[in-house]
Amino acid sequence: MKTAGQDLKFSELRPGMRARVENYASTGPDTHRFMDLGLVPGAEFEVLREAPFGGPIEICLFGSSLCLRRCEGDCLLVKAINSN
Amino acid sequence: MSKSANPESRPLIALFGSPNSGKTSLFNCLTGGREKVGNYPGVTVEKAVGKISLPSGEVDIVDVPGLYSLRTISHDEEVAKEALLGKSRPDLMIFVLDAVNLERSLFLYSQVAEGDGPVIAALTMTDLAEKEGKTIDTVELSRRVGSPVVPVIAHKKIGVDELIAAAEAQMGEGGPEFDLGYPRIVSDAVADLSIDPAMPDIEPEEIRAQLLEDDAEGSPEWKAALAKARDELFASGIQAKTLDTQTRYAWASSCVKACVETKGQLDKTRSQKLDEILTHKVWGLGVFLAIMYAGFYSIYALAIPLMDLIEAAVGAAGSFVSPLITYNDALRSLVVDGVIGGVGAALVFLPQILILFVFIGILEGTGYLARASFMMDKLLGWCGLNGRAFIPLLSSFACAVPGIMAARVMPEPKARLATIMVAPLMSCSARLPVYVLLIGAIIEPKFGTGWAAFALFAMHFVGLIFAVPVAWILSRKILKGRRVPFTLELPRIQLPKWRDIWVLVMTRGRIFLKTAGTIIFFMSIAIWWLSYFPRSVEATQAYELEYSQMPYVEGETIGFDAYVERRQSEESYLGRLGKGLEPVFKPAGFDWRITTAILAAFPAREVVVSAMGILFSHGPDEAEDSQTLRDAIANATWPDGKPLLNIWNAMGLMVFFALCAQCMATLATIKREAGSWQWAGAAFAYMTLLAYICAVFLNKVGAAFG
Repeated sequence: MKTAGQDLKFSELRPGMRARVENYASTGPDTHRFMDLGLVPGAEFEVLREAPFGGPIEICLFGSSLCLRRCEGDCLLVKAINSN
Repeated sequence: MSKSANPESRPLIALFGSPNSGKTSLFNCLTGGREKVGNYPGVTVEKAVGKISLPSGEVDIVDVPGLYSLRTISHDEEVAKEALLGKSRPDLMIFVLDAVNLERSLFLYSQVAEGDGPVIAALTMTDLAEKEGKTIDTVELSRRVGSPVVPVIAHKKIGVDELIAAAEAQMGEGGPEFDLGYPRIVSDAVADLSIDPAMPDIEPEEIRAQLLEDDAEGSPEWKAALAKARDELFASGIQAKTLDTQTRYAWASSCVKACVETKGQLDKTRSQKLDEILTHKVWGLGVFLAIMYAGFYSIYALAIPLMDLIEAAVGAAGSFVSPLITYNDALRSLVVDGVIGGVGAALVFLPQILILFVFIGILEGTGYLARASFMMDKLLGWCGLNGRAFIPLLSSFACAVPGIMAARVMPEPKARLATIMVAPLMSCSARLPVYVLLIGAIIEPKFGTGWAAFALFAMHFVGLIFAVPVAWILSRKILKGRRVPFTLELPRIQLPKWRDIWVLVMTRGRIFLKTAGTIIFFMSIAIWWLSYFPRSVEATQAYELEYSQMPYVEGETIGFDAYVERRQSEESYLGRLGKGLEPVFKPAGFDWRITTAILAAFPAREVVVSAMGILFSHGPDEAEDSQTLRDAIANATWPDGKPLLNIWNAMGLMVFFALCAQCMATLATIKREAGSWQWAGAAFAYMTLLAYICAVFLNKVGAAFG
């Protein structure tokens, strides 16, 4: 059970969890694209669902949906802010 | 309007916005659906231009491809951006603000609107926002973004007149003023730098960008000044790398907070409830399969009769014209087989293209395409493609031409190009006659119906098996360019806008006929020429004499006309080329006749059946299920009496046709969609090489074991 306040990898998030972007593990084109979509440090989002076969994870950010691949999302350092 | 981007005197408006923001819908509404589509020079990004009437006269409007940011864009998008925001800017920018995605829209706005050109904002999706209980204060929003904000619902034509009036009023005005609220220390640094003697002649925004993004351009002194200022920023604890984006998003959020009022805590919207089924791990896949089956079944069921109709019409036109041209055989054949046949060869693809794009239009317009891509991403992602490739690849099992055109649903140029390059490997319906003929001739008589059916089934996977490594190599090793992570937005589920679908379908059909259709037409005539000439009365008389002197052999002797046609085809340029290339194909176990049939099938694979009919049997009218043609192929021998086709090189021939690029329509479409002949040539080269190697391999295996 993941508890609030814990540092997590993006791929460790589960549907229903809320999380906040803390920082980026690396800088590069990947991180630029994610930041451009609003995943800036401090942004909060909710995990909506996971695609079949271990596919992308859909999150809700600013009331809109955004899907990221697990492996690519792992350049995000996130913190859980509550848990279900 | 001194720096007009349009040398042809007419002012230019550029329409900017994020993907899924309703930008295309607005563009269709403003231009009345009449648009000219071309490519930006040398890249795959399409440039759609239309005209709109302002009170002061007509202006051009260009639909800029949907962007999330001006920074993280591919090389191809860079070319488009440079064309629009480089040296000469458009006379006016209309920026599409998406009311249900306002933060992200405003972020892009903050980048695009920085500059001295006038901007107006079209606020779309307000009807959706209202359903979600959100009301937007456009007066306050307009004050904050520094340009007029006009709410527009394009498909209901609401707000369009107001938008046009605002566009008229803003022409020739200056750029919008808005304060992004950078930290004091940054604005101070920019102010200091702007009075630095080494500063190149640039705007304060550009100084700030160079400072924060670490991409100084200018003299060494200027670079040194920037580096020093950056060090000071770091020393104060500011993370320069993320600061710019963070500041812009903070500005966007503050605008949203001040201008958007949300009534109460809402229940889940209908779109969210639908999503629980549509993207469910089990039900979602079931729905996906059902939709794809229904979609492709209806494409098949609707397109086949239309294609038959086109073929019948072409045939009727040929037999109508044929008796009218009595004075010259070559001219008659040119008109009937070359010109009318060539027009038919291009037109026959139209039903599938139009119906597929209706299907894509519905999937895109409802938002389901994104859901399907979400679910398919894992299956397609590991070889370098992504979830969006499933429509192009699935369509290619029917026909690669609409499949390659469907790759335009992929905004990522690299993945799109990789998809275009592997799409022709999917086993399309034109391969079926080839499989049926050869399985019926060689495999079925020896191994029975069960194995014949299995062979037919297995042949459909040959291309797919090769597509995986090819896609992997292309996207990992060959295609250059920044690797952009796969991101996907699931837009709200909506009813499709029929007008947008109509425009999409008509545009795609027109583009196909104008570009690929023209190429197919001229290639048809070229192939006709190669297989018709040289031809002379003397030569024909010689063939007639040969026929009369041949002994009659029961079961082998063919009709007089068929014999003359066979000899003419043998002596044509194509036949001579086939004979000349026989040594090349001999390692695969193919003689000059099969080689000629392969060459004759360059326009389309299924032509191999009629070519083999001419070269082996009674003429071009024998279908793939004709027993005489099958027997003739099964009994064909080399000059020394050895059987021509055994089980191994017959499989080799089928695999050759599974992998080769013998389809000029596909190559013409690749040229159009990838933007250059280079890619069409590359597809032809790698597929032919792959096909050849596999055919030779199978023949050698046969020689070793057989």
